[in-house]
Amino acid sequence: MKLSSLCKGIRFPKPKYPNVPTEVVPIPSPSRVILPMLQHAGTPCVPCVEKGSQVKIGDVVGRPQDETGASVHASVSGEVTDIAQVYTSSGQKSPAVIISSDGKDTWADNIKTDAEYLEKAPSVLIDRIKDAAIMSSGTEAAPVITDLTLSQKPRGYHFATGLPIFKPLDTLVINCVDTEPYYGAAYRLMDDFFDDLEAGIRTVKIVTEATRFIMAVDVQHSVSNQVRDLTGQLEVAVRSVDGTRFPTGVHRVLLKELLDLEIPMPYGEPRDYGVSVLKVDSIIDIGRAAKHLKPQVEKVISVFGKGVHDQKLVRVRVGTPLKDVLAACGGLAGRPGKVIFGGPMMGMAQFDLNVPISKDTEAVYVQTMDEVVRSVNHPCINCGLCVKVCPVRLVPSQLSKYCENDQFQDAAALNLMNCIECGCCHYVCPAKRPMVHQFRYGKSQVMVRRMG
Amino acid sequence: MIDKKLDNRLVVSFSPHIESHNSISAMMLTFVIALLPSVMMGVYYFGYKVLMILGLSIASSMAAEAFVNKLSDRPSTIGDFSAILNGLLLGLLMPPTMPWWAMVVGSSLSIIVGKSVFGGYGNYPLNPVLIGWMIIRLAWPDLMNGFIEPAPLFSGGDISEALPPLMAVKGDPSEIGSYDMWRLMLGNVPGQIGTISALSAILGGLFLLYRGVIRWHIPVGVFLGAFAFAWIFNTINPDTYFPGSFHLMTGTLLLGAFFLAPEPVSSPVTPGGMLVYGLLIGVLTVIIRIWGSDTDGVIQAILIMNIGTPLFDRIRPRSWGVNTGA
Repeated sequence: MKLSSLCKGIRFPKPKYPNVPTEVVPIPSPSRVILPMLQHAGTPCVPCVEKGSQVKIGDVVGRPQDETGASVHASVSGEVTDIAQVYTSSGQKSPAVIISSDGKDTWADNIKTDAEYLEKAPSVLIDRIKDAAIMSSGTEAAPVITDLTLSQKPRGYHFATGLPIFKPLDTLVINCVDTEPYYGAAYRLMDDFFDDLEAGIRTVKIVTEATRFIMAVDVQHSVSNQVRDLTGQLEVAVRSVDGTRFPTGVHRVLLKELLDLEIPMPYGEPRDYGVSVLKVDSIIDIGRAAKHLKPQVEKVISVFGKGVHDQKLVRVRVGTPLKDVLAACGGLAGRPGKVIFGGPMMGMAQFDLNVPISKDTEAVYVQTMDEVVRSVNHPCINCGLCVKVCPVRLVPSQLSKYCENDQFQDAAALNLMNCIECGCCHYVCPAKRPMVHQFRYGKSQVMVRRMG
Repeated sequence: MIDKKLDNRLVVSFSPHIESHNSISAMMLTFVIALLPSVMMGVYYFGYKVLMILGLSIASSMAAEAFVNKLSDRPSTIGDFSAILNGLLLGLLMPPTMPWWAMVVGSSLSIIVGKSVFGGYGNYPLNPVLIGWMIIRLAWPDLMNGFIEPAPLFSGGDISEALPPLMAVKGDPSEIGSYDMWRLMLGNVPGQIGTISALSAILGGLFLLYRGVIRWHIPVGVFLGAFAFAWIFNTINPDTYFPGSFHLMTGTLLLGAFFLAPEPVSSPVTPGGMLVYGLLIGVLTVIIRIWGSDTDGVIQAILIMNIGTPLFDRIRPRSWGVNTGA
């Protein structure tokens, strides 16, 4: 096992609060779920149920309009009480199907276990994965099926002949590293859902044309014997990476570390280089879809931080309001400050506790009011710490000065668009400059200007 | 259970939601602590009088900072240790016979002209300590040469005028034999308060590197530039040109390499830029020492290279995927 090390990013100190527990607990089925039609980047789905209709778990309630989306499935059985506009976890407004649970949790009739799933043709399995509407997590939410199959659109044209270029998929990386330290979820999933993981890897090996499979695991967690045996049997190379160094778990950074592949933003995708990265929870969902024909209606998320009473790894239904999840974890402790979807470095602060858990939610981080930091934005002191930590090798100090003074074209010339918004620069900055905020604004301005 | 009243009172902001404990005042305090060995060696060899010089320098820096804050109606920046560091460094660059009035004028002008007119910490193009030093040097050149023979504490020796190593060997190259490494390390030579002892500057520099306040690029660049350039000429003619090790150990070079050149605001931020900046400071220092009228040259070299900092910052690391084509 080769131990590679990224000499960039931040090595986090051990958290001051007790570590996240190592056991996945299912929380009670919610009495009401909110299923936004927009759980991905792209066009929202269209509701295909009426107010008052009865649904079971796994029934389709929203259909996608194009390939960027995937169906939305009911995650509880019961009655559709409303179709209304709600706020999603990313702060967008979206129509949503609201279902009141009847408490029985009956599955739809077409959900049944298929023991001979491995003998099915790849196209059958692909359809099952497509129907299961699994969203990738850890990056922009997109259906995982786009990561598995050859894209229909050419990724570029040859400079001389003008012929379209398709890069075949040759490497598939299974990312078992937490996107942010302190999640503690990814490696638990491998053992707790071992059967589904096995089914997932077997399915992925059938449906993709990739020849190389790599499982990236965190050095701080040991891989259990059953997973080691499975990977040996299925010829999946296990590679250790330093997960304590943020942002190793972010897909692009992980590829840099594993394969020395540098994928520029925003037009470069791992698929352009013949590589796909799937989070371990997506693999597990793929396994469930292929073997049990189950759609993605559940999610294992890590609830942690000083602001919550019991830190837990919880198994929740997609669409559960945040309130119910927090209540299942003992409620908020102390004076609540921020409730964040995601982790402390890249998470999204929420203003409303009615926001539903969506398919790409990985964690909920709760801060008390005392922990909330207030940036002062002192002028840059040119210390260069941000240059030292930037994982994509930008010069954040210079970019931040440009963005501050509306010089967006200059910032774009210094590859502002390459920023992955990991937040390392802001974290180390002695002047506490809100650089990620400035870069997001700068990037949006550059995009607006490019589109005219 | 969740309090209904608190539902609507969540803080919402952009990521990241945590920050390191690093701050400007912590960085400046680290610099000040790293300078303590040099202060101690200065006191040991030149007596308690140097404490008065250093104290006056710090006090007038802080007074000037407070005055400018008041005048420009800005929040007080006294607490961030940058004025203290400014005064301390300027005091350490003075000969031990510096009169109090020149110290007060130089130190307060370094804050006002070097720092505050540009908008305070983070905005000035040149290191304000060196601006203060240049003001005194140009206004009262004689005062800058008031060097005395070191007399260790409690030895009760008389104060007698003497020449620091670089000046002495410039007059008579054969003098070089009287400075062995150990003497230069401890600093039992005439010179400026804080620059006589090489060992204390090295200790302070290693502490800064350990705390991550400065990066290795600039000091290593300075040493490499000075040593290599001096080595070339020493190989050509050892009689007139001194060996690189002598250049490294004498004058302001060590203090400059660890404390003056890597001063955050006026130095480059990119690794390549820092290395080139350091190399050029080293080379320019030796050029000034060999052919210039000044015998030390470190401060002039740093000031000149400070001007080039925006240019050195153009030596950027190659960002991901640039010039590789998808």
